[in-house]
Amino acid sequence: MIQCIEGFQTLFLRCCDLDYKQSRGLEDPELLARETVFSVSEIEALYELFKKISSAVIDDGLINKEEFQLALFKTNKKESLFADRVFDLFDTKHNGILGFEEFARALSVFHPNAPVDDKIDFSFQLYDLKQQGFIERQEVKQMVVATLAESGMNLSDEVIESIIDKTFEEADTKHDGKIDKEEWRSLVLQHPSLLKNMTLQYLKDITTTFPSFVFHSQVDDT
Amino acid sequence: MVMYRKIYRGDFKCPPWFSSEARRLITKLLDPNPATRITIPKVMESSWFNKSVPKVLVTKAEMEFDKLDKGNEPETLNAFHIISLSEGFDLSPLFQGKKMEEKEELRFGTAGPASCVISRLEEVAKAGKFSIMKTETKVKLQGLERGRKGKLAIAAEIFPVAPSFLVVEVRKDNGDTLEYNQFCSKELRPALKDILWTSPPPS
Repeated sequence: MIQCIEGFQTLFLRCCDLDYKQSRGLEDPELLARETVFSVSEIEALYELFKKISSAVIDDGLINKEEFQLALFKTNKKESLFADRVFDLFDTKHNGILGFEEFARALSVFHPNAPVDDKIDFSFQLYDLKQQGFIERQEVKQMVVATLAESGMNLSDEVIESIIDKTFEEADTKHDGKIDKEEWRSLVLQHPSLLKNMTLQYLKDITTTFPSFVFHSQVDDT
Repeated sequence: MVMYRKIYRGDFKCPPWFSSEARRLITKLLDPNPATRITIPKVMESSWFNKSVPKVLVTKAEMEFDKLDKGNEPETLNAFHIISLSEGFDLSPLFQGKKMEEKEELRFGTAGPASCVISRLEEVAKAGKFSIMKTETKVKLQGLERGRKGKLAIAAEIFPVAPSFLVVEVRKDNGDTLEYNQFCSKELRPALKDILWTSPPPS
């Protein structure tokens, strides 16, 4: 009986430890630097940004959906189809919150030096709303309508359909009514501006935007 | 103490790799006697000073103002271009503390035609004393006077999306952001207000 309880105890503590680990301070900047495009100082600067965003609503060292919306739109009242998609893609553990590792790994794709293939992959997943491995006409329409609505522009259904027709004509080279990863990649290679929002120049200057990391730096100067 | 003595006596040594012209100028600058010390106008006339420093720092954008590339075809926007304009996909606010109105890019839809947008921009240019360069789909405005960070330059690009719908993107091409924001709110937006796209009334 006592062994059972002890067993549960260790299990419980281990579970807690996992969560605790996720929210603890910057664990291993060198590891993250190795596995992302960022340098160690950039990781540390990114951590400063992460701390700022993750403490906005609940100071638990994790970014929840509300804090993400707050950081993006400066208001937590704004729901956005796209912000939801972005958050979901960042949330590789699928637990509804972003730890620093998820945050850094996802942002690494947006760095100007990140490989284009990563950007192509990420953007494809972003637009694949139902995550079926291809982008359907319905999904495209949903996104176009949502985008236009954001700026208060509502085009007639006819116009939207004609825009999508034109797009699929060009993109859907296999003519199966869907855009798969290969078709997406060829489209993007022809129209590189489509990846414009997959690159954040700010990430290059992050060490100057968040210089306070200098005082908290855990890395020895070599 | 030794340092002060050296300053008082004008006792210094230039590193060996200094050019002789630099050496001469520095000797005249570090003259402890203010009466005989070189004056600023004389510094500007000195040979070392005139050697390689450009008189005015002209930015690349200012130099290339005339080179409005008329070459490539305007890219017709497809559905994904429109989608990529969405605010939700733009992660840059994560790094800025700026409010939405202070973004450097202004984007709006208009029923067009493109010529209407261009003539509006021409009016703004005349009123604000900007010189203007234009093609059928691109317009560039450049202030005639230098501002805090050079001449303010604005670039506008017109993208056809559908026969009666264009997207116009206006962004700062050169110069100070504050001046750009002032220009946008005081001159640009009011001039473009009535051609901004409004949703068709529900039928």
